[in-house]
Amino acid sequence: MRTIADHVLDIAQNSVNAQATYVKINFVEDHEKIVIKIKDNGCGINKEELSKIFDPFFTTHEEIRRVGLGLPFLKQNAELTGGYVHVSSTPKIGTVLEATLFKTIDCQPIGDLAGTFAALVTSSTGVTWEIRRCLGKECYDFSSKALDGVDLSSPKVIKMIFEYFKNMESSL
Amino acid sequence: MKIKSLEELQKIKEKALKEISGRDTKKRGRIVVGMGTCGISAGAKDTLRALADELEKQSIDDVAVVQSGCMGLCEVEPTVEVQIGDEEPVIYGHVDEEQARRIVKEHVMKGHILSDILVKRGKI
Ligand SMILES: Nc1ncnc2c1ncn2[C@@H]1O[C@H](COP(=O)(O)OP(=O)(O)OP(=O)(O)O)[C@@H](O)[C@H]1O
Ligand SMILES: [Mg+2]
Repeated sequence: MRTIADHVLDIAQNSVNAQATYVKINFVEDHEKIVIKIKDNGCGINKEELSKIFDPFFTTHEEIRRVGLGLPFLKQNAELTGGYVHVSSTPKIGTVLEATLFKTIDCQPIGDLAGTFAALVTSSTGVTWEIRRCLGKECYDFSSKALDGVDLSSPKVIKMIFEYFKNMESSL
Repeated sequence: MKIKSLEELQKIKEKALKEISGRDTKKRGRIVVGMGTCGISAGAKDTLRALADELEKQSIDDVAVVQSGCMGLCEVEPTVEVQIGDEEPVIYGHVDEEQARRIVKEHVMKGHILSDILVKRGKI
């Protein structure tokens, strides 16, 4: 993972893999830090597993060829900046991940956040995505409810959604 | 909240729904982009964007673009699976933006299989 945007894409996919039908992402940035919060209504994580999720190569998805590096990578990169990652979860209710990264010299570049959001929103039809992105005082909100009935596998639609987020990012 | 963000979404929805109304929406093929951890690290997001962009540019709207998790081919990510009609699926590896556009122009449009980036034929 070279950028924070890559982490967000990877971590939010954990929610999809946990059969979430609703995922809310907050990405709030100011001059000194980045705070990421991802909340889902997926299957959740039990206590025993929760103690292992940051262990490299821990995965409950072996059958679908996962390696189990997503969370350890994020944790490592957050801690390098003096920040942290915290996950709380209730089985059958859902999971909340909160990460704070400080904009020190060790902080990875944010990268292509617009592309991350576009890829997530077009990744599966069974999930309602809500995204709030703030830079300083400026924010924008996205809800996939606004795209109900739209074919998210259509190249044209995918392209429009990539452009949409690109425009939103540059309006901040 | 920015009012503009909602307005823009509404426009996307209108355009998308207008496209399909009164038209045959059956797809003739699909392209699957591997978006697991390895794929993402290797730049699969740009591959996805380039595929959608090139298909749109070539006015191809009967090929679906979908995402899957890791295909288990970490060494050759980003990977892309192309399936047109009843042909057997073809998996390509190291698909960067440029290769993504080539896949659209050669494989999707002309049926030419790109042997230099071919990883596998048939289901994984
Ligand atoms: N939102 C979530 N809901 C439920 N379980 C989760 C969630 N996020 C992580 N987990 C659990 O933590 C494990 C480790 O997550 P991590 O992202 O590190 O690896 P992975 O998703 O299994 O594999 P990889 O990300 O490398 O493809 C997962 O296998 C899953 O059991
Ligand atoms: Mg993961």
